[in-house]
Amino acid sequence: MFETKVNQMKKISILFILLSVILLNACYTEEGKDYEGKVMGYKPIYSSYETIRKVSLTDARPIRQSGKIYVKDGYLYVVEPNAGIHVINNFDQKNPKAERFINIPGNIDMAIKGHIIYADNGLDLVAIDISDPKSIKILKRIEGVLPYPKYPPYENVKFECPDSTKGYVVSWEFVELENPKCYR
Amino acid sequence: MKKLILLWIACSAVACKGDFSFKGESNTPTAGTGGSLARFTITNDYLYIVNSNNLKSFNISNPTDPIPSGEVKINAFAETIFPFKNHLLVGTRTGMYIFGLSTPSKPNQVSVYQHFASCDPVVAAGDYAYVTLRKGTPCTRGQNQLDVLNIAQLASPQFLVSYPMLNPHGLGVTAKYLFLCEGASGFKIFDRTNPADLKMIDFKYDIKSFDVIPLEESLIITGEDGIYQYGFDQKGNFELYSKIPVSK
Repeated sequence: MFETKVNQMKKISILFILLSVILLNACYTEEGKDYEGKVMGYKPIYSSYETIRKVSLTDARPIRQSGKIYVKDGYLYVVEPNAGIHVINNFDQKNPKAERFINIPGNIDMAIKGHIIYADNGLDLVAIDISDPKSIKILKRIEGVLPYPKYPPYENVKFECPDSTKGYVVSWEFVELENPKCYR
Repeated sequence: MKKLILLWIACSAVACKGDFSFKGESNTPTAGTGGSLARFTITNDYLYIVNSNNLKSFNISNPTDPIPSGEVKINAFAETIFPFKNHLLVGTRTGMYIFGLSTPSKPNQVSVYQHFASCDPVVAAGDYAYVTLRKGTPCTRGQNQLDVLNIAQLASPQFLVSYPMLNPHGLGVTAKYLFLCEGASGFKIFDRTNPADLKMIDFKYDIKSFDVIPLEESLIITGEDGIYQYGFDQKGNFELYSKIPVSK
């Protein structure tokens, strides 16, 4: 009878100690944010600055993700973030036809004047002549006028801080990370 | 053979159409139209780009040769840019900034409408600006709402009214309508005949919408699973024209 009480006391004490440790630990992570161990988060996928600059014209392909949109003269342009621009013949809005895809790594936004597309291509701004449906021409590249990607396009997430010496961040993968230092 | 001939005629007709519009613009090249979430915009001879704390300008008077022409600091985190009456309305995480273009290469700040930290695009028509505020992590103190401002005087925007929203993203205006993308919650259509008393005339729950471009009598909406196009008239009739699928 007495022993069981002692045992019970022991158990409660252990539980109390365990709870304290957990709570203290929680406090520590809250304030210190020094070490969080393995957590799920976003890891940057890099591409070399040379690869990023390869802009090309390809056949139309399905849209995997829609980003910014732009309309001009019966055409609809849909940016697939970090991939390029889908060119869609939209003269008949009841029957839009995908015509071409302009492969522009690191592309997020665009605008058009006349037959020239201005688009971000990683850190650079490029002016692309699209007057010929069968080929494109890079008329000008202004290097380093756009910022380096500092975070993934998601909110309330942990991620591995990008390192510009490793290349340009073309996408992010959701994986287990060892103590990520960045949060957004 | 008949089919081939028909196809050839159809192709020629399309080619003709293309040539025609192209000839029309070759003398004075014009710019197109972007959505409300755009960071790039063209007005007159300049391309403007906003990025976090700066607004950059590029002279494109010769469109084939863009030239960096200036940079202006913005005292906020800029996310969207909207050209309006020779001004730029910049949506930031802490409010709407209005820049004048009397010196197009160096836009000058003429006013700011500040609010609690939120993410917000802005569009405008006539005397009114419409700003959506969305709750999100980079803007934790924010609320989900639509603010209507009187901007008859661009140098002193006046708050008019605000409406609670669910999860507002991009938006668009025509003379009669205001369109609002509610993210995963759907797509809303308002009659804005009286901007101080918006009337919701439709709420399409099934369109998970991010941004919209209103044209004269049609709409292009981007959503999670597709790009939707609608035709509409001034009586409030909306008809689905097409859906371009989007899928990973």
